[in-house]
Amino acid sequence: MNPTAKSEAPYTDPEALLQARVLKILKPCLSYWLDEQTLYLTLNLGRPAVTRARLEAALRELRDKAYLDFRVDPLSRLTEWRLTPSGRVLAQPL
Amino acid sequence: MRRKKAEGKGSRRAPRDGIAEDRFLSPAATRATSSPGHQNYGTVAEPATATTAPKRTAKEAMLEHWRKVRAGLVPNNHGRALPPHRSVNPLFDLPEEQRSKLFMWLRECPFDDAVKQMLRDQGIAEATPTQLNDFFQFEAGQHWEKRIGRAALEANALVRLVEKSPVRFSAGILAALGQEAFRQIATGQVEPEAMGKLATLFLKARSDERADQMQELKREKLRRELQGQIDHALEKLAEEVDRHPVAREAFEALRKELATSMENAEGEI
Repeated sequence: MNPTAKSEAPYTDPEALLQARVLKILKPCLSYWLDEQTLYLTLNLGRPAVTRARLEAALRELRDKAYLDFRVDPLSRLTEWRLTPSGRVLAQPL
Repeated sequence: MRRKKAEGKGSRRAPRDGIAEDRFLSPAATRATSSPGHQNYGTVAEPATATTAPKRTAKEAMLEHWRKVRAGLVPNNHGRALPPHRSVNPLFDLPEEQRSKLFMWLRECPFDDAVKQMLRDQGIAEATPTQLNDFFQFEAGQHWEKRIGRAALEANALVRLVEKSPVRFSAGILAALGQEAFRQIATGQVEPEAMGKLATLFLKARSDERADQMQELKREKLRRELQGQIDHALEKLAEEVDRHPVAREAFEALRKELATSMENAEGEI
């Protein structure tokens, strides 16, 4: 049997998939900060829908692993996110 | 406004902000909007419409199943990648021009019947409301992602443009300018072309300011030259006056008058 013909089983951990989606959205932002609301809306353009709580958990986990950096914009008071250099490396193949 | 709403939410029926999010996220809200012909993404396991809905063909069931797999509502147990969009929705097979036309109709018009009539008028394939929704959601997602990607590129271009200007800006100002440009484009508050115009105006304002400063320097130089010439003339006159003490009084009066008129002239400038 040709081993290449056998397809990989789909990766089904929903939280890891969500984190990958977050990385993929933030990747084209380069070094600019993207506010959390825009990130949330972008995520919910695709399905399955993502709740705010799940998004916050995913962001927290990615931040704890130093893949994401965040700040609170002093003028708008919005929380904004961007990839750290290690996050950029991780998001490279996405 | 309508465009932003449509692209922002990915669903042309969804009103802004909280209501739209609730519809997306809350099964209760999703149920409230469910109707025959209106695809309900949040109620996979509900048998409610089974009694009234007409029986589906095997092909329709298969398409529906793949649509749910694509939506992430049903796990993909087929051991293969998702089928391309076009295999489950003929609208994705349309040529690029017709796709953009259809996307524009869906963005502008909230009524499926009107859109379907336009499709018929143009000789484009018939489509169900589900197919229209899927098509719109996919296209809106693509537009949104493109906009975020483009926002970073445009912001970088703007910063480079300002860097090339003769006026020197600090790195902090440039970073703030880039971030603001990115924010405005990414959130759809301004089009990339408008940012270019803003940058031009920004630079023009700076250049006008510098021209004003140069003009002021020239005026100041002229004033000093004039003052120097007057002082020189007065010194010469004073030498003459010293030789004629009778004229000293008249000379002092003239000196005071000149000083006053100079102050007045500076005030007017």
